[in-house]
Amino acid sequence: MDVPRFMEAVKELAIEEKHSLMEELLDILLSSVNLEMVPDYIGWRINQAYRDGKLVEDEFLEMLAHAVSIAEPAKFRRIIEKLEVERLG
Amino acid sequence: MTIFSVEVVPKDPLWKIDLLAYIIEELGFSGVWISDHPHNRSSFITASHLLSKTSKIWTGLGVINPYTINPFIIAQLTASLTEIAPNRIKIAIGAGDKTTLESIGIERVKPLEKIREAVTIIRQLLTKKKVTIDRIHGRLDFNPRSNVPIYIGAQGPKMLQLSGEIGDGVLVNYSNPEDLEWAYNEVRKGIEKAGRRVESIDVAAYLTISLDLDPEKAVKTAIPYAAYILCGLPEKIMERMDVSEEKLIKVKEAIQKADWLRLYEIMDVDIVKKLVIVGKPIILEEKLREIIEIGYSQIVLGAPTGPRILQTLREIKKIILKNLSN
Repeated sequence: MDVPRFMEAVKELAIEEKHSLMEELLDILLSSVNLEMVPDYIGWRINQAYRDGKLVEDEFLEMLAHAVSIAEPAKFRRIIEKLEVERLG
Repeated sequence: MTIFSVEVVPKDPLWKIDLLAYIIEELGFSGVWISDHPHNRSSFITASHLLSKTSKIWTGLGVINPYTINPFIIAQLTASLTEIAPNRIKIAIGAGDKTTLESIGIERVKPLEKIREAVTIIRQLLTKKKVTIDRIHGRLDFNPRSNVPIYIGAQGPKMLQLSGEIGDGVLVNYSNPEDLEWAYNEVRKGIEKAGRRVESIDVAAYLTISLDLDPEKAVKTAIPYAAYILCGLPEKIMERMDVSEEKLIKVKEAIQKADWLRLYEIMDVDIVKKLVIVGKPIILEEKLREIIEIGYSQIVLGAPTGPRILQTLREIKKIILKNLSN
């Protein structure tokens, strides 16, 4: 349920905001000690999307969010809560 | 000129190592060192992949252990890698950790002789395609495509001296400038004994670093690494650590049980700070100046790097570009 909540919270963000959020999520993912839990095919798609400059696009951002929710669920929930607070102003 | 490289640990999935190497190359570092440990993914297979996916950075394999992989096979694998990326490969040979070797049924006997013999075998095979020493003789039926510098991973005084005597380079696995200065002088003894010039060997400080804007987080990330280092320190450095035998036994027990929570309880921050460059990124600038001043020609930015790896690598690159590039 967390990933749809995340996508809802980011849908109105400006591209620069999405980009810095993507960087934050990627940093959390690459710093995680739980990457054996993330399916390899998701890891490789995130890898390729970053190389192609597409990781900020909704399709890949959703995949990145999914990977972070698996590897670092508590950190992911804190990000959603922060986004929702900011959205509600 | 000082070279800067980054350690990657193939404990992590290949998709992450691959992406990290891509980012390291983008940031302009010179190379990556792939650590080698029996519990992790194969460093040779990881290197094979990275060499085919990168184009500018070199890949170092280290530290490869001749007790776990026969030196002849190390040479065969290394020569095969030169076909993928000529002139972009380095290897480091070291005797490894006694406890780990014993846990997989290998006795670590006569490490100095083992390393000297391994370097001789590997070097002869890579340069002449054949080796004949004592009971060992054999050949490669293909041409290595380039020269491969052979480093030695060293911590104790005799191994450091041997590195200076026979290595193309040495990986010195300390982080404290005081320890690094002592180690550098030991390497120099070997260099002088062999009648070599200090410039002919790449003396690399293989640092353990954990940096973050929040120093507490940086320390927490560093604790398991500091504990491992503490348990493998040579006597000379251990004397300076001021750690009781009782404390050391507790740390060893926690490591053997992989009980990280216990390690967080028993490892003192002071000990961590003696073994790891830990704190805000700015602390690295001062330490790097000291280490370069000693004479080190390469700085390896070793794991864990910090609780946020991308942020830390970018900060480090800024520090190097702003203050230390020459």
